[in-house]
Amino acid sequence: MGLSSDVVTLSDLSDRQLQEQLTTDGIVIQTGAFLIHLRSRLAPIFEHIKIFYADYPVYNTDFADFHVRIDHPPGLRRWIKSQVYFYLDERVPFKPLPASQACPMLEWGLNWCIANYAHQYLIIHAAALEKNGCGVLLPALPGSGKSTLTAALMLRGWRLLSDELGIIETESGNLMPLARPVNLKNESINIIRDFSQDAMISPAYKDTNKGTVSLVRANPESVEMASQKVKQCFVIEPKYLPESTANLTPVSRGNMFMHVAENSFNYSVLAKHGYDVMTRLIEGSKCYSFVYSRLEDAVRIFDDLVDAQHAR
Amino acid sequence: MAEYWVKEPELSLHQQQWDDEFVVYNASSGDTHLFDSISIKILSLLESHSMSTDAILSEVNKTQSDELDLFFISELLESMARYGLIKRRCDAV
Repeated sequence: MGLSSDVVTLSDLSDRQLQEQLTTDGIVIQTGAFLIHLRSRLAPIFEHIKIFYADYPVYNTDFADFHVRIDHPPGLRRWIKSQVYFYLDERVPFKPLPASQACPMLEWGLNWCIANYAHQYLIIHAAALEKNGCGVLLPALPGSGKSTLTAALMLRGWRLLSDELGIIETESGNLMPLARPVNLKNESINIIRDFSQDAMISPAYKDTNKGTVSLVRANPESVEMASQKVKQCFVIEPKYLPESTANLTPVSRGNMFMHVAENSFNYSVLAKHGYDVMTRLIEGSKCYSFVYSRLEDAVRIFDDLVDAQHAR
Repeated sequence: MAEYWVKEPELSLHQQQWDDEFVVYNASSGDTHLFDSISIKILSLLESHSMSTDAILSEVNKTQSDELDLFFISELLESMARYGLIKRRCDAV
């Protein structure tokens, strides 16, 4: 593919090398358990991966789990009300988006690929983080504040595994990292900007079907450890509730099993195997619901929880 | 006409118990259910023979501290039938 054998991370490439690779043969980036072969002629994609994927390993290989391309369609829609398509293996799995949304489209498209094809894993619509060797799975409905909480925990020293996909290795039950950018929506963007000066936040992408979206870069420590699986310790359903007092409430394993299965992309696809994996996951986890309004309180409670677990 | 309940034939059920909750996977349908001990008791009762609603109610109440009524058991049996776990059988008297 033309990459030097000395190249380790994307930031090791010069702008010229990156631009050339991206627009011709493509670049193979490792995100956790997956190799992504990416091509694009779009300047925003170049700028996006240059900053948000700077720390990720790149490889000189023809093999990739997903071959994706983000580009303008042929014809007039390249120029008039400009659109972009997400291509997987040169097929278009979903409708185009306005060109201004190319970068979030890349992130959503990659999530879609994993959720629809990576059936060697059990995949939950959940955030996943780790601290002190304890994996925490945060299954949640949209609007629960999951991604905001995930970004806050990452910015306070937790390892980010994923903000959107809880990936469970079926043999071991361990959580698999992705360590890709965190998606924030609407008010959450300024909340995280105020929460931490260290947050590297993308420009706001407006008028998406999720509202205004920004991406928070995964911290380098999370990316560096993206090959290290984590033992699952806790399953916690977060819920942002204005003016509430942060509170952890135990949830029965039976109820949590059903909640997590309902939030899974492929529990049904895996059939009995999915049931067995989910059973082991829940059996090995302490299960809670969590209500919060202030991020600092949430971080403190999560820290205390894993500290107590670690001290055992 | 006498009405009985029977377990669906060739059901393949797998269950995991946590305290008084049972997560049951029906490999025949791919459905997963969260049951309490009463539903599990009913499946156990119908494992090898058919029973009437009254007989099921009588057996279940032997293990209940608060006696259940016919309406409750009837509703529960109907829901288990909708899940494809049991079915109603009517025999001429």
